[in-house]
Amino acid sequence: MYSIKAGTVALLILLTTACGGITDDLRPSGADQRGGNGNVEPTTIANLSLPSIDGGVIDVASLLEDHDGVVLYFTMWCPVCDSHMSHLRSAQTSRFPRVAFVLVDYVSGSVNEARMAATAAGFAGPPFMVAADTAGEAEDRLQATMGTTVVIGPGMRLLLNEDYKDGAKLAETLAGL
Amino acid sequence: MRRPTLNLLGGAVILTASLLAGNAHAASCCGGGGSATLTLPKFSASMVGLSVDTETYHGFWDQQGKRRDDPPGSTLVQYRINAGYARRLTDHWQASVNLPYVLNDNRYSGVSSHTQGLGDTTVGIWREFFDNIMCVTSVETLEDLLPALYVGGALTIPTGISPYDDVTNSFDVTGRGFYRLDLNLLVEKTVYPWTVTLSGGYGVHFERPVNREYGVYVTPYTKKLGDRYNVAFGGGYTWFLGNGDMVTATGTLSDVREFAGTIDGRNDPTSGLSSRRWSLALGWNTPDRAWVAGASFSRSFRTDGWGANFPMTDIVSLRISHVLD
Repeated sequence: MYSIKAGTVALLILLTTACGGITDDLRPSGADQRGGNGNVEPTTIANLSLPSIDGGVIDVASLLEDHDGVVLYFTMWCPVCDSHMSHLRSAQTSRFPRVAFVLVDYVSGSVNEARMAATAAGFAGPPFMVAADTAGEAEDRLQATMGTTVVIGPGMRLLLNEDYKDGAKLAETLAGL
Repeated sequence: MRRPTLNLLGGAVILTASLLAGNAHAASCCGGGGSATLTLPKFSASMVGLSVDTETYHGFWDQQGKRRDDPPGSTLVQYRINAGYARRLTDHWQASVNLPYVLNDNRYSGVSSHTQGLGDTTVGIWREFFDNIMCVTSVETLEDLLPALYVGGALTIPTGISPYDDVTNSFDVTGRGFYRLDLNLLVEKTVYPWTVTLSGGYGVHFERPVNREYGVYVTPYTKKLGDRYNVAFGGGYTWFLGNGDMVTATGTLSDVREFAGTIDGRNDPTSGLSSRRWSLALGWNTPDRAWVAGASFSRSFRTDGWGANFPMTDIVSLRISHVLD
């Protein structure tokens, strides 16, 4: 009996001490730790040109010639991304018709895989364009990850680069274009 | 006539309660912790439990409740090892703690990830509103129809790896990152060989500050997940074996819903979830009634409208518990 109790206690202690960094959520911080990654002040970036799942090329500078801005949403087609993209479609695209909305698949290894993923998820057509960032260029340059939402304005100015959250910051940014 | 063997209650309640309360809302994209709290049989002093879950993913419901397939070539598996301990505090009060350890083994679209770590810890307490064993073999008086009633609370502690830690995507997480307080109810009635169980809970998440999402620091904000409720209904049948062993089969339907959360106090339209699933379980008691072992299979209803904003999964669980004294 004693050995079972002792073993249970030992297992619980082992589990609680097996992981580092768990206090991040136990005592969450609201401190701003972004540093100089382009989130705080608008900066100008070099042009981005990515393969489209339609077989062409999505060139941000070219899109800016006939749009007020370009939104890049980084997706891996998961449920969280789906909820963001559904909200983009229902609440943002019709409100900002002069903005180009590009879903950037940063996880598929080929344009064909990205096309199949976008089709399976139901986002393969308008109001979105879908880019396949197969080389990871956009992901690396924008330090993007799942749910990262980027707004590029006239002159390739980077106006927003952070998680989609509820879309309020995106709407505020687009309204200011 | 009441059944004199105390742990007869354990056989049914431990199995059905653990099946009802646990697993209904796991899923690696939503964290893997918060598994079932142990329920100690009446008159037992303490108990330990260990379970192993294997959860495989088969698409998800989108926010409109439409079933969506995962990208071609995706395989998502989450393994959970849950260790629990329950202890009687008084004649009518018991407490428990459950610690999951989570292993994610995923290939999603072009991303492969293998992460592991502690899940979210659950500390629970039950108040028993009955004085004796409530299982009967026949109904002779109205009193024989009275069920075993438990009312309790559970605190989920965010010891897991959440989207707000240094992870790259939602499939690497092992916890949700939020404290949650649940008020739980468990009602069970056994008239051998039949058992009916109803369980439910209502949980409130605590608001927290966020300054990082999926490994990238963001403009700090406050976030609160929505309130959630879960309800499950189960029915079981028990066979008495000649050597004193007891085998119980249980079927369960469960429903969990989480309302929309808030970001900086505003409604977050991208949040909220729901999931319905069915489960089958088989439990076995050893002759001395001190050990209970079981296996269960649980599956999401893979139908449009039976969930939203949540993965569809299968869960296979093996569990064992032992009453210490």
